[in-house]
Amino acid sequence: MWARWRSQLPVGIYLLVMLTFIYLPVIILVLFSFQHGVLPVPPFEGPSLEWYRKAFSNDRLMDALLNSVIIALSSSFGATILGFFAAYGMFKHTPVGASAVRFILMAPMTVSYLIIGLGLLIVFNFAGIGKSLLSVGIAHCVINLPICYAIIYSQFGGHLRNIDNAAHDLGASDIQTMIYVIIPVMAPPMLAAFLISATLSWDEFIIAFLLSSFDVTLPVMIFEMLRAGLTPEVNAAGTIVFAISVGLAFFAAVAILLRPERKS
Amino acid sequence: MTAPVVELRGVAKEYGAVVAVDDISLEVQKGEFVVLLGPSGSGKTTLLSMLGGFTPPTRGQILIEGRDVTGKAPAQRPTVTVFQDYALFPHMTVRDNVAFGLAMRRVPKPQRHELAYAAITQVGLSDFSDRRIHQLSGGQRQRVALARAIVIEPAVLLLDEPLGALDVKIRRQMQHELHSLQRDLHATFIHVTHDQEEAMSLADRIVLLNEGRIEDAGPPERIYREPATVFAATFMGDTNIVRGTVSKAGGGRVAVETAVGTLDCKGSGEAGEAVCLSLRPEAIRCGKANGPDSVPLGTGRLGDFVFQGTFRRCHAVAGPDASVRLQMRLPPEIEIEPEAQTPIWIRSSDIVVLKEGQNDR
Repeated sequence: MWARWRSQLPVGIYLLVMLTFIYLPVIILVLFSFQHGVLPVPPFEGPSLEWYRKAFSNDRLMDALLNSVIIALSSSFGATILGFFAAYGMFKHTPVGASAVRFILMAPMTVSYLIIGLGLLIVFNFAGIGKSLLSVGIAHCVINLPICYAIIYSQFGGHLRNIDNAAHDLGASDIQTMIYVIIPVMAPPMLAAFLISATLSWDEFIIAFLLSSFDVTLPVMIFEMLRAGLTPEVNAAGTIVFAISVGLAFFAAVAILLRPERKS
Repeated sequence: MTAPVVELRGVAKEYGAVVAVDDISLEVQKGEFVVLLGPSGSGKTTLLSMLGGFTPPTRGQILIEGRDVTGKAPAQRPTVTVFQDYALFPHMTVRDNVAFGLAMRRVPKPQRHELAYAAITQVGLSDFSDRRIHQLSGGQRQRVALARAIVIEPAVLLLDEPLGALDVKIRRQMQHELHSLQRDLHATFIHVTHDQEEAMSLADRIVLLNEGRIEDAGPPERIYREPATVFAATFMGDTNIVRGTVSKAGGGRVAVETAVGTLDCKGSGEAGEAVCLSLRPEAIRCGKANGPDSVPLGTGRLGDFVFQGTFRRCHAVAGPDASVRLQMRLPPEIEIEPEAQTPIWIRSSDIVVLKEGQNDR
């Protein structure tokens, strides 16, 4: 037992170092949001909720939080619906140049957010929408569509082909098949895609920064607060962002585990 | 004879250069239980899929109830397919699965539930109508798939290897139930399988397919006893194929020169023609020949005994230079020393003469 424990020791140490490297900054951020003082730097001067009280009474910050929530939900909803249509279409039909279509669908994932943001900025100015929350929402829909498509498409297994055929065979139209059969069966991966998309939208900064003007999202607001000066209030806001991200990611994981039943 | 319920006219399906189904014409009568039998790649599933409307044929015409349905979608045909993987809707209860076809036909809810319940009862699942699909066993899922299909009273029920995923015992039971269900409904069933035993226990008529063509078609007993081709003889159960040359023909009988002697049997041919003879393992007997129509096969050395319950399988090595190896099925109570030399014989009426076909290797 001891020998075995000893042989595992280097692995354990390695794991500990790795986890520390990844999570230490987050732990520091969270810890100093409870700082009883004016600077989020060591030493830790005892716990206090003072900065959270300040953050929650900061109207600009709360408006940004609400904006972020609205953009995350609406852009993810749009991306999930569009991703589902694309996945269902690619599952049912093999168009001429299917691999080209697949490439175009996935291409936005390979382009940096900065480039997409700049491109959209030019397009929105040209279209007269300009910098606004609407622009940010549409942009988040654009960047999350490939992810939603990939998640949903990966769950269109072979067993669904006969299920789709069976529904048509029993007299259902294309739309009836989609509403009564395919969407209910695909609900768990669609929920997972929605939640992952919402998580990504929630803490996306570059595009939101480029495309928003006076009304901003929470990450952009935090950036503005940082420019004004380092206070534990920024840590508090960051902790809120982090907590909500973790929550969304957790629900997404649960949704993926609830994926549609495979054929027995 | 009444008009056939299904009629295939020169139907073919090609995938590029690969011919899956090659110019098949077939008629199915109302109330008939037809089994499409063949090895994998024989085109049986493609043929069924074309009947169901899921695969468009490359050539030919498909008529159902006298109507040309060649270009029609599955929903516009009076057929329903029971899929190999059942394709049940996992998010619905048994009742909702069965009622789905009725709901799509806008049958009012109370009536829909009544009809669905009747179909569920017919397949013996009346206690399970509120269950979800994942709570059912394989055999039960199979029954739900059947109920979902029969509830809308299709003119033709298409079954794509529906018993393939079930274990032997349940498969036997389901074969029996399918058979009685078809009798009760007076419905037309077209069933695909690669299992010749299943085909024999279900079919009114077997359509034996090989490489996209019909090799033989007829009642199971006829195909087993008098197969049309070497392929039909070897696919329908075990058999021994002995090659030979016709030495004498006439009066509906032929004498065939083979390595195990000159065999005289029913059949036609010309002197000098090469033929194959099919000798079923259970028809070859050992010991002293008796009866006027017995044909001696020479002396065989018996070996490779395997007890199989209802019979004892063995091989007889016969002919000059021990060149012919015959499979035999002896009654299990017979005890024979391995390597024993014994005369073997067959009844003349158990020999089937087959022409050398182009599909025979």
